[in-house]
Amino acid sequence: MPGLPNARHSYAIARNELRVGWRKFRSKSVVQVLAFGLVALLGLGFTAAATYGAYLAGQALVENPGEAAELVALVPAGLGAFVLFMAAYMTVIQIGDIDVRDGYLTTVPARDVVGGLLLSGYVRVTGFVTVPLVVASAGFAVGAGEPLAFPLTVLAVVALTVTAFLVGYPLGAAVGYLLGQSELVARYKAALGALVFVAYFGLILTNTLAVVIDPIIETFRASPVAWYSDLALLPVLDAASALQAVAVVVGSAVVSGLAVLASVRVSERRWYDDGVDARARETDSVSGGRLDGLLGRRTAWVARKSWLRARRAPIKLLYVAYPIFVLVTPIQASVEAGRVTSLLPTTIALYGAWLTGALFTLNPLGDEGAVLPVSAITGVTGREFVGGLVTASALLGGPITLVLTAVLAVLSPLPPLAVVCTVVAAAVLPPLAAAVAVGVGTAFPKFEATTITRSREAVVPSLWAFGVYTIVFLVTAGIATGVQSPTAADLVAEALGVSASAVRVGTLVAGVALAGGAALVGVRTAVRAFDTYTTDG
Amino acid sequence: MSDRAIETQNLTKRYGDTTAVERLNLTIPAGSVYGFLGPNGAGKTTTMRMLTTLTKPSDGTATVAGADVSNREAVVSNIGYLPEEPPLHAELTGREQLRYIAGLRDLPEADAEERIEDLLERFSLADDGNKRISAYSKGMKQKVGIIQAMLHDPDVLFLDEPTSGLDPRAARTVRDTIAHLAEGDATVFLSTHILPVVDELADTVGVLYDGSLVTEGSPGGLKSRAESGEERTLEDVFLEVTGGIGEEA
Repeated sequence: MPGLPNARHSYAIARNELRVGWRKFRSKSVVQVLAFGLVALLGLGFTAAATYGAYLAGQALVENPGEAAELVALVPAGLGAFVLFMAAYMTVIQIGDIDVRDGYLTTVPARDVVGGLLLSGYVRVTGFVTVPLVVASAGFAVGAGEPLAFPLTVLAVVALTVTAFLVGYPLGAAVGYLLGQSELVARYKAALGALVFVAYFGLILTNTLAVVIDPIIETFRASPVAWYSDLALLPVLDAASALQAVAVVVGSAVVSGLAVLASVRVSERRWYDDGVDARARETDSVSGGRLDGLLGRRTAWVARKSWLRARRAPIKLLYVAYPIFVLVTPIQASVEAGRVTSLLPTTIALYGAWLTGALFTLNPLGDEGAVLPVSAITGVTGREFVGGLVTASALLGGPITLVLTAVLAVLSPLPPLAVVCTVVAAAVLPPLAAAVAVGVGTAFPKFEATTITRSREAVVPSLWAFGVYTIVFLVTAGIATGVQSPTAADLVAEALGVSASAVRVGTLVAGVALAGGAALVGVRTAVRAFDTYTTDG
Repeated sequence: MSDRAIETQNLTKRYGDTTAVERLNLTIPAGSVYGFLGPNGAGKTTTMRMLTTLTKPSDGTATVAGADVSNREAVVSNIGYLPEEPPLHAELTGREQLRYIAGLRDLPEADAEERIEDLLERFSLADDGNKRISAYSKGMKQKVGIIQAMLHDPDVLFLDEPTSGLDPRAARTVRDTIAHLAEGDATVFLSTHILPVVDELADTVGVLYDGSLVTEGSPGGLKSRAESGEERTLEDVFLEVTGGIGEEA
């Protein structure tokens, strides 16, 4: 049975973790710091809204105790479930492990390291919820006209978030441990990750996320978790139970203590047990093939190398999933209508083409990493290098985009000419998008790695490349696909005084021509950049 | 501490079907320098990880500074460890890193400060001590890693390639420091590929090959061929016992 962490060591480790994290953050780009500033502003807004809401809740409780108490009882259930889930999730992906782990584990007992991670993790995971709620507690006390409600509500918020976090942490550590022990998970990590993402996305698209969450909230509500309301409302509501209020404080202390011990035990297993090392498997999946004959050996090798790297480290391509939200509305509309709507095939064509361009071509120089100087002097020409990357993207994203779009377009209520135009766009735009991206990516390269999870860094495209490519893409490909739906085509046709068919064909031709022009510029820029590359820029 | 700083009996580590270290028997007296040699992949780092409690042995026993390696807490308080990659926070300055570790080692603040300054001076880092570690060269990071490992005067110091990346002057400082440590009670377990370092410092040399200890003795003893009286270099001995051409064999 492990002991409890040493408080002084744990505090020192937590303080250092937060200090290192803060310095890492300060070294980020101006854009990222500004983005954080925006989030902080939103946090201020959230705090103000929560405080006002708590003030109103306090008033409502005094005026109409029965009904308001029902609603207030939901708060600890929702908050507890949220913090527990976030703690478990963040423990799996980030806060359950520590940089320079070997250094720590040969300096202090593992339990002290766990203590430090629990403290710093609590601040990181629950800080953005706990701080606003503590402030909101003042609003609640003022609204209820009962000063004592403030310290008791703060106590309830802190006790609940601490307990939920401490219970979530060992659960997440246990999941992380099991993932590290499973050969199946190690082997099919990418596929399983994609499956989980698709399942989650599916729940959102079909509006069934609540079906999963509601029973959890209800279970929490029916459990002693609801007694945190008694603690907060003790001086406000006669119906609040003093016994349950005391019990929830004592219970929190006991459960938290046990959870810390469990965290230590599970973390020790996670850190000291031998995990599955998928990298130890011997593989040789790169070999010549028909691609050599079609593209030339060097171009084919560049393409194969891109596919192989993506297969071995798919997480570096995570960013291509960010704009997937554009599919939410058309898919939801199709699910609700029970048929494929006219918007879905064109959106799929547009997103598929964008994704194709973003796959391997949006950071051609930076993605080479330390190999770039070697690649530059191997004799591979810029044309071969760029051709290989564009091919790698187009051959992967192109067919998927084309088939999906074609099937959905045929099933949709689009008129035959719109179906043809959409399918043509789905066939032509992906390789053009890749050619545009390769130029933008070369003009705005990024060589520094970005932290994706605690143990994983990857070189991803720069924000500038991401943004400029997306704008250029929308201005060109957007024209080609944007007015294929009957509503849009009719609207433009009426405005221009031409037929809808002319609009569809005309915008397709114009969009493809613009994309083609941008692609030409993109390829030329990239070829020249590679051919004239020097390490001093 | 007992008179034996490190003792292993049939220490074995297996990863699935692969045996990384097989039935390793070592007896290293306190106050000595043990040079641990072997080609890449021989099992040196795995052995160090078992002795520093970072990896559990599959079989056999080991004690370090009188404590069984299954008793992590007892072992950890008596050792210092410099892995191949120094465990440092790039966002801290050299001084901050060392003060932080001194705090975790429960060193009294005034003593720690004095020792940190002394060691920074000795390793020619005093002027760069307030710079972020991210701005350090590989050699400077290595120096901070070494200082960190020896900050608390450990009974047993595990050094994995301590002179890697160091310029000749810094490498000389490390060698002198190890020699200085060994003059006291400290035991140094030194893994390196740089044979002259071992030749100069080690009281005993052990060569690990394919997970097994293939030879052990004093550098002088290993170099002299008893039957012919012919003198060899440590490199000759190393190549001979590890299959002639080392890892390429």
